[in-house]
Amino acid sequence: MGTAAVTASTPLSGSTGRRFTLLSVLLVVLASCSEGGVKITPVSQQPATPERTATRMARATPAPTPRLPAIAVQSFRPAGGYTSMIADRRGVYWLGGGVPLQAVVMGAAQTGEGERVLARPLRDGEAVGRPLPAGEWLLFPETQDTNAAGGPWRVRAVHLSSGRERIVDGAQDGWDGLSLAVAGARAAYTVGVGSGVEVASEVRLWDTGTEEPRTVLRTAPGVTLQRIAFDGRAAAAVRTTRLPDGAVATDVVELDLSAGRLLPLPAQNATMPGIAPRWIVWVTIPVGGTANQLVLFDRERRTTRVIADSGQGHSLHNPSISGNLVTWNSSDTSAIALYDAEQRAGFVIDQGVVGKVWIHEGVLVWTALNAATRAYELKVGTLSLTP
Amino acid sequence: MRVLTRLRLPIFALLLATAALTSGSILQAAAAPRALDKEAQVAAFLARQRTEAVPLYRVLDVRSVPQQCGNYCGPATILEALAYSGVQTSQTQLAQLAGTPGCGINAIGTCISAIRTVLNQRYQNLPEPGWFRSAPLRNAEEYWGMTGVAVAEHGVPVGNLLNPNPADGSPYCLPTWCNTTASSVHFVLTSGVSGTYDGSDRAASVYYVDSATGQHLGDAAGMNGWWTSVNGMANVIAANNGYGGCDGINAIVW
Repeated sequence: MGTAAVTASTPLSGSTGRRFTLLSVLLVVLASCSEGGVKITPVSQQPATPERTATRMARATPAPTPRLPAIAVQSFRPAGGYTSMIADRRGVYWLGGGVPLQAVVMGAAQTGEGERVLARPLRDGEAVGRPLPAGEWLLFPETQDTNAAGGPWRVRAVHLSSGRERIVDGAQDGWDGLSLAVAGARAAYTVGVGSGVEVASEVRLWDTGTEEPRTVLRTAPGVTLQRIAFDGRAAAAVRTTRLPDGAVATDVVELDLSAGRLLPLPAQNATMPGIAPRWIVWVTIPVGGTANQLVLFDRERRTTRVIADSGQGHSLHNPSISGNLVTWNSSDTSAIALYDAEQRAGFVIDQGVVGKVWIHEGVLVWTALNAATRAYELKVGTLSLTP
Repeated sequence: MRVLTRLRLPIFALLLATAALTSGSILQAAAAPRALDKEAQVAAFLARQRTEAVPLYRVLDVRSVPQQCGNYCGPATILEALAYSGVQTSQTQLAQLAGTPGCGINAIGTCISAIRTVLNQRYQNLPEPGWFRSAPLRNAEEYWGMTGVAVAEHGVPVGNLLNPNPADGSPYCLPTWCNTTASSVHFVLTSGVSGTYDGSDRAASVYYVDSATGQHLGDAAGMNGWWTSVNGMANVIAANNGYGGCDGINAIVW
């Protein structure tokens, strides 16, 4: 999954007072975090340049070895099919479905026990997005039919304890229907408003179960927001802007939800954002078959760094972030990496035929081919985020 | 002995005469290849790949076109291919030609056979008349052979009927669809190849353009192209198994 291009760099102060960047060691096995049969290893690093080598030689004491928090991995094989998974410390949730249409929202404990249908789409409906746990609720976007031109879009929610359901909100017809994200017990979502070239987006917040949704931001006509990500206070989204000549521009923007404004980012031709209190991540779009990059933006320092490159003939996609930890998917499904933005270090958390990884509130979920049984299984990795 | 000689000479003469008479039709057959030729080209391509293992890299300058309706992935994909070949037309016109119903809630899509027919009628400078065929997918290596012959050797894109995010427990989904629905039926166009197939996900991949845009996909028109492994593309095609194509298990237009 492009792991060979993942960099781990540590800022140092050299003897001359200059600030150097040290690219640390090559493929060292940590072996400190191996549970549930998953070996955790730092990913390989870029080779050192002469300047970096000199810096490393001048350094009196070695840099601290990057360490990943302990990870407890459980695996099971759901009875039915599964995709678009997410997990928290209470359980794991996913979309099940198949042919013919009609995806359903499923859930189980992290061990796989108690697997059950949590919600079914309304009549002629279709769950069209990853289910998202927020407080006592599990939310998911739904449209009447994905083959329709958008169709009536809805934010659905099911109460995890009682099974009570509610329609949180609805959106009009059209491809600019809605996108949804959660953090803690809050949800943020975008809905399309207006039509034609005047189409715009509103961002709405819902504190689950305590109040009705409220609109906190509206874009200008011709500007829409998609793929929203949310950290509980701020958000990031893909902005699509219709230009006067009819062309369309795409970038990732930060959303200041308290002020109701968009903050530009150095993220032209970018998509699939993730956001945490300190960081925003996105991938560049591989226009014309180019390699693409996973980019990390420091919200405090307003700086960016590339933390992974797909290499020629592959694409990185669907990154997710929790705290300082970033994971992502790749067309090369031979490994899954986890990058610690604070330590500037990457770790391989699983290898083989692996993918569809997602991290949410310190819990990873992914799918892997069991080499012994030749069957796919679902894995849940809970990180110990306290020392 | 004499009898044998007498027999051999007329037989030899007959063979010569037959060859002379049929040589014209043999040449004609070469100009208008039989259906077996593409299969043979795939077999030859895969044989070369196995022995030489020279990595390929070719990406055609195919631009993604946003589909005008939720059920217009077929016409939009045809438009992407035709535009690449130099033909200017519209999704509406292609939808009429291909028999795609008008856009609306619960509208069905476009049949594989109609996509194939319109492409064969309108695509400019095909390697040979009737180039586009519909076929089922038997395995990932065969898909690599099909795309290698079509995209890398002849510069012609390949159409794929698939489920972009199948709920099959596999690690495979088309990148822009991995967060979305588990049961869509979709049509995308393969326009690039990279690597050399050895059975692993890392070794070989294909580049595709996708007409789907929208809130849950979040990619603008003209930028919607991504790489996916050959195994991954073959998996999302096989997971759908021709569903929605009105042509049995046929899923590839190549």
